Amino acid sequence: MSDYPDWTRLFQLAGTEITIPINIEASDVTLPVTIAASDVTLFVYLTGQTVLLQFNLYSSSVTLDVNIESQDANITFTFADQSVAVFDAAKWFAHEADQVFASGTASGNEGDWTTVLDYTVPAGKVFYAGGVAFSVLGGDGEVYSTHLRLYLAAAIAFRLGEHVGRGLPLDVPLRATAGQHVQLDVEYWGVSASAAMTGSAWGYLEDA
Amino acid sequence: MPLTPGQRRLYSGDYNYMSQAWQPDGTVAVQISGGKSGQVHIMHVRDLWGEHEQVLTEERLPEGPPPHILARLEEAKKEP
Repeated sequence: MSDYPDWTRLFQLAGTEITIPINIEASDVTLPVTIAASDVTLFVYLTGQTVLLQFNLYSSSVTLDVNIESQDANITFTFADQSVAVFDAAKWFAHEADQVFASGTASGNEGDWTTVLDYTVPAGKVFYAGGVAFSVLGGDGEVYSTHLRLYLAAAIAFRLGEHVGRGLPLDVPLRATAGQHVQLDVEYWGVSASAAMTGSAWGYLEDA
Repeated sequence: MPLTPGQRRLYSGDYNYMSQAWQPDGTVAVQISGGKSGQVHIMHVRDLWGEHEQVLTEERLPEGPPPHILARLEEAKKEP
């Protein structure tokens, strides 16, 4: 840039009403705005009794990419006096009716691992489990120890133990792809007779 | 063997809720509901998810709320 002199041009418009229409009609329009500098500051202040900032993208296919590459990035959204909904993934997929709640029951014997739920992820989907629960109903005896094994595609993903059962939200969703099994097996101790067991898993489906 | 309507939903994922009741003989009573179809399918399945999976019985419950509930919903929309 040292080959060129410094250049400044001030655009100042003052008036009670200012209208600046920009109409571009063409078969193809390219309007590039490129700012290249060692430091870039671009402020947009919109202050008014009412502010309307509207982006309308009409197309058979719209791609809106926002790429931020920086050593440090801070993104702040502040909504006040509004009716704006920002969903996290789990709630969004429930909103889109892609939630899944699967539960099962079975009877088993003390010390035996019994399958209470076997869920297979449907075609073209990815299942994100957001929680699991299990319980054992001992009938006329006392159950004093229960255990859960969660199998993902025939391998144990994790184990859980408790007195007569428990529920656990997963802060890291368990991911299973189409055709994979999410299986809950339960074992208990304390009642020699057959006991009723339950198991549940819930989450949401995304397109693969 | 072609899939039954209930199996098709099982494998396509057109449901939101699934209930399984595992029987002592290894068969499973499966109920699925919700999804785009909104139907409730109740199936009795042998070898669920297995190579020789077989639907022993299958029943589809009527869609939506029963007629007397629908009538009340319609009435509730109207001015008293």
